[in-house]
Amino acid sequence: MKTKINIYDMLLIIFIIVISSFFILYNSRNITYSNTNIAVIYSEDKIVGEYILKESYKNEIAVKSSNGYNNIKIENGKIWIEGASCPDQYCIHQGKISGNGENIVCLPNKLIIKVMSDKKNKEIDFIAP
Amino acid sequence: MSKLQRYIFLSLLTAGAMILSIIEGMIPLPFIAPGARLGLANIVTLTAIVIFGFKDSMLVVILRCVLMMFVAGNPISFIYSVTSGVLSVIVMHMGLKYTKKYFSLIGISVLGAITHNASQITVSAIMFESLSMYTYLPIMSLVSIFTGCFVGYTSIYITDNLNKNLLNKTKEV
Ligand SMILES: [Zn+2]
Repeated sequence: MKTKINIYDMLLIIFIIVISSFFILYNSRNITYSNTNIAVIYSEDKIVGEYILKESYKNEIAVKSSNGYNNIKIENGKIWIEGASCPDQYCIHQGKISGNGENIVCLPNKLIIKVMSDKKNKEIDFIAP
Repeated sequence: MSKLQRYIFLSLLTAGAMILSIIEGMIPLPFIAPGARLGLANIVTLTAIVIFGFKDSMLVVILRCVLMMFVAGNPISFIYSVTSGVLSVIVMHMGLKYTKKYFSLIGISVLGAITHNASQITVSAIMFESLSMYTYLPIMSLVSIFTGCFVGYTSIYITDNLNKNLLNKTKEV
């Protein structure tokens, strides 16, 4: 048996180092870039979903409650209510939000949208022992 | 080698693997979740593959994981170790079978170490329902190179000694 490291082992190791370094750099660039916020939608005190607010993410969410509906739109890192069944339409007038701590409330439909930092979410995912 | 000798050897290997598991349990892995391991037990796995072949090394790995679960009483660790252990056996066996011309045991154990870490990350990605666990794969692959080299050199040393002194084999494996 060859007891020494040979050229193919070396090539394998170099290959792994190159590939890993590339992805580490790629990820770190992504992480600094994506210091983004997330929007949490609550309907009747239940979480409907969490959505990331970043430039490239687009979504339309229709939330139905026992009192009616709210059509929510996410685009260009902002979230807003585009249409609603509520009589006052106040939630639509609250406009587009994107900053940490901002929120939109629709009282008649018991709908709340909260924007928060994504940091908390990450800590839950990656918490060390 | 007689049947009895083989059984004694396999149980010694299992005991050695358990000791390695206990030792690596004392080394916390900063990146992945609790229960994830460095993969030092691959020393025994690789030695077992070289000397006894695929079936027996699989037996050693599964025995080690089951016994460790009884000793440590940690079912989550068991899921991690059995997945990464079994997949490492498969990959290193394939490596030894098909790429022996090119790689020494070091290259093969680097492949085993990467398999070990990739499967642990996969297990935690499933448990945490988070694909972003895979962002740790490149860092863990770099770690794999070090554990792989260490495991490879150790296995070369062990298999050489076993072949020379205990199995009375003079021919090269
Ligand atoms: Zn409203």
